[in-house]
Amino acid sequence: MTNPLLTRLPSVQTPPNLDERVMDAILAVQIRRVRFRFGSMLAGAVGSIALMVAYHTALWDELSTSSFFAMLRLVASDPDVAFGNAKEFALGLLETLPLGAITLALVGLFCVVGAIGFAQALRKTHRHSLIRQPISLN
Amino acid sequence: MPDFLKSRTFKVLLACLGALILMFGSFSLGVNVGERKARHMDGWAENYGRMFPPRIGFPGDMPFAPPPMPDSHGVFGKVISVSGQDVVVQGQDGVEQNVLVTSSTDIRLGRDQAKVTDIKPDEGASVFGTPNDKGQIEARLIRLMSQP
Repeated sequence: MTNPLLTRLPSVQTPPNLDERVMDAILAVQIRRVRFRFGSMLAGAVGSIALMVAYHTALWDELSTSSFFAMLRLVASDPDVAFGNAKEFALGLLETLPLGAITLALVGLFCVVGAIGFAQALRKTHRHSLIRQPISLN
Repeated sequence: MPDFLKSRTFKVLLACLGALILMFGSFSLGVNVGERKARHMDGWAENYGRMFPPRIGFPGDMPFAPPPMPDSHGVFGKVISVSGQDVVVQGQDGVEQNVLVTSSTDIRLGRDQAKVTDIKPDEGASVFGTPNDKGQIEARLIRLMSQP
C-alpha cells in the first residue's frame, strides 16, 4: 500500500541546465589547470632566456674554452685512435662537457616546447568549451 | 600477478626505479670523472714549478689565483715548448699542460706520421691521452695542425 503523502509529491526532476552547469564547471577546472601549466612553462622559458642573455659572456666563454668540440673533431679525423681508446675517450668527452651551457639550453628548450604544447592545449580547451565537451588532457 | 604487471602502480614503480638507476649512474660517473680530474689537478699543481720554468713576470710557482681545472684527457691549443719527450701545450682555456710523448704515442701531421722533432713551438696541436700521477698527459695521439 502506497503512502498517500508520497502520491501527492511532484515527480523528481533535475534542476534545469544541470548538465550544462556540470560541464561548465569541469571545463573551467580544465582551463584553469592548462592555464597554470602554460603560465609556468612560459615563466620558465622567459627566465631561461633572460639568464642566457644576462650570462651570455660566461656561457660563450664556457663554450669557446671547452675542449669538447675539439675532442669531437678528433673522432672525425682520427677514428682509429678514438675508438681504440674508447673508455678514455668517453671519459675525456664527459669531463669537457660544457655542463652549464648545456643545462641552461636544455631547460630553456624544455620550457619553450612545454609552453607551445600547453598553448595548443589551451586553444583546444577553448574550442571544446564552445561545444561543451570535456577533453582528456593526457 | 599479470594484473599487477599491467597496473599503473607497477608502471610508476618501474619509472621510479629507472629514474633512480639513471640518477645514481650519472652521479657515480660524475664522481669518477671529478676524481680523475682532481687527481690530475693535484699532480699538475704539485709539479707546476718543475714543469713550467719561470718566465718574466710569472713566477715558477702556481699563479696566485688558481687557474681553471685542466682537462686530464687532452689539450687542444698551441705548442709552447718542446724539450726531449716533454711538450708544453697551452689549451684553449689558457692553461698550460705538460704532454709526455711515449713510445706508443701516435704523432700525425695531416695524413702522414710525424716525429717529436717535427713538433715546433707556436704550432697548433690536438693532444689526446691519459693522465698520470705527475699531472702530465701521456699522449696517445698528437695531431699537429699544419701551418697555412
